[in-house]
Amino acid sequence: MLNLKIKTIEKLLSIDRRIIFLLVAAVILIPIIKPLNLPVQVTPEVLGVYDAIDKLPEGSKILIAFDYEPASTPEMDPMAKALLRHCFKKKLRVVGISWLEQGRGNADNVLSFITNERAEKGHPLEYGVDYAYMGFKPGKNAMILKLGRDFKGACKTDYRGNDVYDMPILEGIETLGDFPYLACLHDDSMINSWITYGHEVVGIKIGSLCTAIMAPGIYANLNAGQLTGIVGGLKGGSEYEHLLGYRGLATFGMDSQTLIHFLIVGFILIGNFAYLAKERMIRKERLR
Amino acid sequence: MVVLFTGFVMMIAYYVPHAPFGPIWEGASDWYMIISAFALVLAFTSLIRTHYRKIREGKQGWGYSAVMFVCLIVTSVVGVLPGDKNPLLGNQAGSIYMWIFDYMNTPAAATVFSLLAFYIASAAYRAFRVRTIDATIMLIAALIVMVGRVPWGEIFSEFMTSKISPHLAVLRLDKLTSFFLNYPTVAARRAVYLGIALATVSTSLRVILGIERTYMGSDE
Repeated sequence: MLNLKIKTIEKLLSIDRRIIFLLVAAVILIPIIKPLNLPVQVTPEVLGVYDAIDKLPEGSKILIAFDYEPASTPEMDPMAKALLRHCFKKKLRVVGISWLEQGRGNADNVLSFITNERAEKGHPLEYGVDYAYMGFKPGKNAMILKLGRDFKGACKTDYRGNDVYDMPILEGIETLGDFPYLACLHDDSMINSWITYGHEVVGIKIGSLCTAIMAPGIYANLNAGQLTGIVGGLKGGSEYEHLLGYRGLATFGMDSQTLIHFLIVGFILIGNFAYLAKERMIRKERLR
Repeated sequence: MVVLFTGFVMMIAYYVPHAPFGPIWEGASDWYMIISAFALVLAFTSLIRTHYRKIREGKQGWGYSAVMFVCLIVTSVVGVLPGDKNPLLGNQAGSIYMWIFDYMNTPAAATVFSLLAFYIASAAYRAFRVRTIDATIMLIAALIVMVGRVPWGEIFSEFMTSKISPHLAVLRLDKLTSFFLNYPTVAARRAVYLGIALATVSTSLRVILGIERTYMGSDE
């Protein structure tokens, strides 16, 4: 009888992984077909980034680093769009830059999307005046240090090949420190370079908008005052959208994420209960 | 000797922006950025050599290498050619290069990344076990953070405090998640950061002083 029980548990533990995959696919798809419209609670970390940008006076220039790869676009694009909507709603002037080669394509897409959206709503934005994108710049740490000494000299041209010295948006910008805020969209440890060579050298305030996997690693920087806040993953993105008063792709994606979290928690619990029960039975069997 | 000289000059130039260190630092930064850009050339060469060898020797999966070559050539050619006269060339919006980026590169990369959800779920079921005390602590923390970071976890916490007892506020999963992220994670992370910083300083000094020479490819 005990042997039969052990065998049943072993069967349960070695369930075909295709069943697990099917369950995962189902819990991801169900909220996409029928959204759950779950409520959103704003955390202080997200509020830290939102407030810092919201308090900037109209016409201020904000630097946005687009440092994420195409693999992270489902997670990063919604928050990048929310960030740009916030900036343009506050009439801030946006300057973009990338250290990743592939970040350039993402930046181009997101900027085009938001500027077209603004134009359709009757608020057209002028390139070089309201926003500009410097493109991919190699050199990472050395480049940040150089931006801290001579921003235009380090960039020289934007991604379209325009001379940055002729761009009205960069008037009054001599160094990185002349930007009142840097919003860093990243899916790697690039934020560490911005903190070390940007915040610590020229004192620029930084907000991190990153993938969920990156967020726990930078709480040390947040607690040390090196970041004003963290917008982490779809959850952070949904909070940012909530603060802006709309339900976008991040909020929509949180329905699937909620279900998948609960499914994984269920898997862990079932797996462990079965494992512990099996161990107990094996011990009993040995004592016999 | 070159490393010793460059290392010390750059260290001084970081703290002293005046001549002659300032201009030296500026020049060295430009060199660094140019050399960084050449890393792409190195990667390009290495990629071609690896896949060319695979095709020449007819190794298993050589067909994928051939596909890689076609993609590499097409993307490079359409992306590098100037798009002033033909809007399909170059890398501006509406070009073939951006079409490849938007409709091939991005979906393919995102698909591979999203497969993680399936593997994590499978691994969570099969491998995440309470075999030791350490594993148990990690498992409990993971469960709390996973539930506390999603809306249902927040709703559940709200229900516990408002409907059952306000004294349960300390057990709110969202608050516990915040505690885990702000204290134990930060403490561990700081220790790692300090370790990395000390190791970087000591390794850099070893390189500058010529004690560590393995970066040159040989110890001799």
